[in-house]
Amino acid sequence: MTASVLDFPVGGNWRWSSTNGTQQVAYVNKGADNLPTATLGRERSYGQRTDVLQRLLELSFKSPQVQPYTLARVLEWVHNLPEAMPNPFVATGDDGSISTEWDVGGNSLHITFERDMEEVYFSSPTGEEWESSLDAVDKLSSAMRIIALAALSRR
Amino acid sequence: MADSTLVFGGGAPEAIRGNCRAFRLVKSDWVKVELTPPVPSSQAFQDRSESGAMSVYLEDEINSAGHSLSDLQKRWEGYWVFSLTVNQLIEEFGQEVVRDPQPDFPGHALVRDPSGKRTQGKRSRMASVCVLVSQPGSELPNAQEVQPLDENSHGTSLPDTIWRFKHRVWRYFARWTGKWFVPPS
Repeated sequence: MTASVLDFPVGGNWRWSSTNGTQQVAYVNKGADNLPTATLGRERSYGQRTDVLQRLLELSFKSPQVQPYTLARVLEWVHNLPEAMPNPFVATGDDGSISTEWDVGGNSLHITFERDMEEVYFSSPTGEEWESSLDAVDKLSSAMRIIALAALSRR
Repeated sequence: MADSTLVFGGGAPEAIRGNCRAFRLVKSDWVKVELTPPVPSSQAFQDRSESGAMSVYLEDEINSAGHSLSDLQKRWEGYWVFSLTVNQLIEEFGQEVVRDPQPDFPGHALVRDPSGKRTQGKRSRMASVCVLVSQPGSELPNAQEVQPLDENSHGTSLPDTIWRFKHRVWRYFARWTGKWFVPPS
């Protein structure tokens, strides 16, 4: 769970705002001329991920096979995702594993957590395809950058 | 392997033709409905811990028993149906396909990976190449069942969101401790 740095232009930010006493989260899109090329570190994206974290809890509650340790690891992983990464599709398996999956622009990044193990699969339209674990930081960081850029180009 | 080739699936009593479709029933939680067409999660191709295998229904046996796909849908209402051919399962993914008759509906079979566990790559590729055969009802699930997309975070009420999140955390851990805690307001 160490891939944390992405190098690519940042398209905008999620901001909390208050209107008539009700707080809301909103995406503030920066202009095309205002795109700084940044190295994104651990820009926490808690507001952006709340729905995903809730969904994970909901699914885990429905799946008695899911172990708290697995859930805790996934919650941490999702919570620490760089801000520019879109929200993943999340699912629990019959074996108690939990997956976070991105499918954007023909690129697929699928990560399954099961207890203290994880499996990572990436494929892209360019023919790149590999399987690994989260320890493959460089490959994973590159895959996340591709997913984030693909998502950014669709906004 | 040609479609007409007979495939013997790990000691199955009857041969299974390579072009026979294997129907995989997929629950709504596993379907990425925001994609066009909808695609199952790789989780839909995990083995069940009870059987150590993935269940499918073989079209040839369903038909020879006088049933149809719509009967399968009725039996498993609410499930999505995706298909792979037996040829794909065996040749492309190196799986073993064995008939496993069940009393409730004909055509049940078990799919196993010879290594004992299907890799993430195989599960993901199965998810990407399988074909959507049918979905529950005639419409996609309503918006509340759809996985949240990044854009959907707009307009979330913060107090309400925090309350729901907190409540779910407490419910989850209450299950493991055997006690019911009242979440702090």
